[in-house]
Amino acid sequence: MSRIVARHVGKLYGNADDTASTRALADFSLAVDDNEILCVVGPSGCGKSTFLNLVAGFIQPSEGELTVNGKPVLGPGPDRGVVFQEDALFPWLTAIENVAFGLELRKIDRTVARERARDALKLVGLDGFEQHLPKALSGGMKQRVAISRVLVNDPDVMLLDEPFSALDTFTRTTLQGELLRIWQHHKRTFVFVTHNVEEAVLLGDRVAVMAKTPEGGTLVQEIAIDIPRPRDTTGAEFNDYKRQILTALHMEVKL
Amino acid sequence: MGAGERNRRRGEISRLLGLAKSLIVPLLVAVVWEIVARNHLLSSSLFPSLTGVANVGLDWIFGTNHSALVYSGTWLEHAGSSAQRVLAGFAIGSLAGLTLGVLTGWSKFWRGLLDPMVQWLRPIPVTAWVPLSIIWFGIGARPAIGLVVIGAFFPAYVNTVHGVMNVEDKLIRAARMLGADRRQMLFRVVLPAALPTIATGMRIGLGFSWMCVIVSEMLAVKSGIGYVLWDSYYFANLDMVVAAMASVGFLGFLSDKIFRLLLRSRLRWTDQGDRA
Repeated sequence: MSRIVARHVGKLYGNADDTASTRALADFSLAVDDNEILCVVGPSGCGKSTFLNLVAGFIQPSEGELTVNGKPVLGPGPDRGVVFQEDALFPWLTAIENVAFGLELRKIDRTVARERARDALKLVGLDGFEQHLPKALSGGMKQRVAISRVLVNDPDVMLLDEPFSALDTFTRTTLQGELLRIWQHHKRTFVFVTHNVEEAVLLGDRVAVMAKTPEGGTLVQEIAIDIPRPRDTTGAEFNDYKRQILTALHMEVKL
Repeated sequence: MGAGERNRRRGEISRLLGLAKSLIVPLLVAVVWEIVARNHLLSSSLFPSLTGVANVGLDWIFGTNHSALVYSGTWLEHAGSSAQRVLAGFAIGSLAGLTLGVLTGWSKFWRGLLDPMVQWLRPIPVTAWVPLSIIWFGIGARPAIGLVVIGAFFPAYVNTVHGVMNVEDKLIRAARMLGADRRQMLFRVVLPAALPTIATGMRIGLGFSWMCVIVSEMLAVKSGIGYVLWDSYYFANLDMVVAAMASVGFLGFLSDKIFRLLLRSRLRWTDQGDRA
């Protein structure tokens, strides 16, 4: 079953008859299956974040149709959790208050919410840091809190917008492993946007390669990554996929 | 001696050094002041001596030697009167500024309706309101409170509008994603995020409040530090004038300190909270 379906989706900023308008996404069609990790990779300006923001409901498509669970997306909601690129935790709330925030909005009993938040923090390896304010946490720890504040709401879809791009290589590798472990234990649909080809091959069941064209960002190729997990990032198979994606990207760049 | 112990000791030493440093300039000013006054480098009718001010000030507070004449032992009474007016006016003015500021910052409808009027009234100096406040409220505590309300209102209003309108977009998006409705957005995201800016506006307003209370007590009230200040000026009691000035400075400083202490736990997440 497809969780997310995009049919000929276009996104235009500004009025169509205005020369200053820009087309971020053009004729974009893609289906994301249930419990699949789809990685979206491409250079900046290719529309990958636009696609994510459309699924999240922060913006609405100008053309075409976008459905999640068979229903058109009308606005943001906790069924589609977003992990942002930059730290978007509420700086005045402690780690556990940040995680419990979504539950408390829905009037879930405070003690129950705190208990579930505590478990969600434990899941990302942050037990003992419940009372820390974001400013007392490292970049990697903040993104762990961000993941757990989304997971605690048990979303159908998790949308990750270059969540590890600001982290150093070692922290990033650790968090990639954690994310896979979480996905294996709490299967759901992940859409993971990145500009890092290796990250896309490592995490994705499928990789959607996007490119920037004069008509707007568009889908170039969908590649199923057929390597069993755990994946060896230095193996020949892995490199074949990397080459395939890089080629797809380069061809577009040369145009 | 462990590293923690050493660090703590180093922290104490640097704090003491900081305190000593902060006293250098006041001590120098005091010494120069006293030398100038004692040696009559400036006429004593123009320039009161520090010891003279201290003498009168102590009598004003404790009623020791009647050097403050009719005001001997009345400091607490007058300081209390001024402080009450500041407290009442500041509470009303800040609350009004906060409420209208949130409406204006949060809703386009209210912004279009209210903001032009407020921006038009804002440049009028608070002192220009004195005649109207006397005509409306008569002589007594009420015109003083009225003036303080005006003084406290504008900084609270301006900073609240600014704080509410400039909440980082990523926090708004995060809250929408977690399912916040408009009301929850306002009370759980926008107001906490704007609190540091709002608090800064209120602190400025608190300073204005003391200015307003002194001005109105000079002109329209028969009690309070401002009244004592003006009355002493009429009788050319310069020692008392300076003692009253020092009192306002102290009360203003104290109220600011208390205000910051009250908000410290809520601003723990900002750098402001660290320094309070």
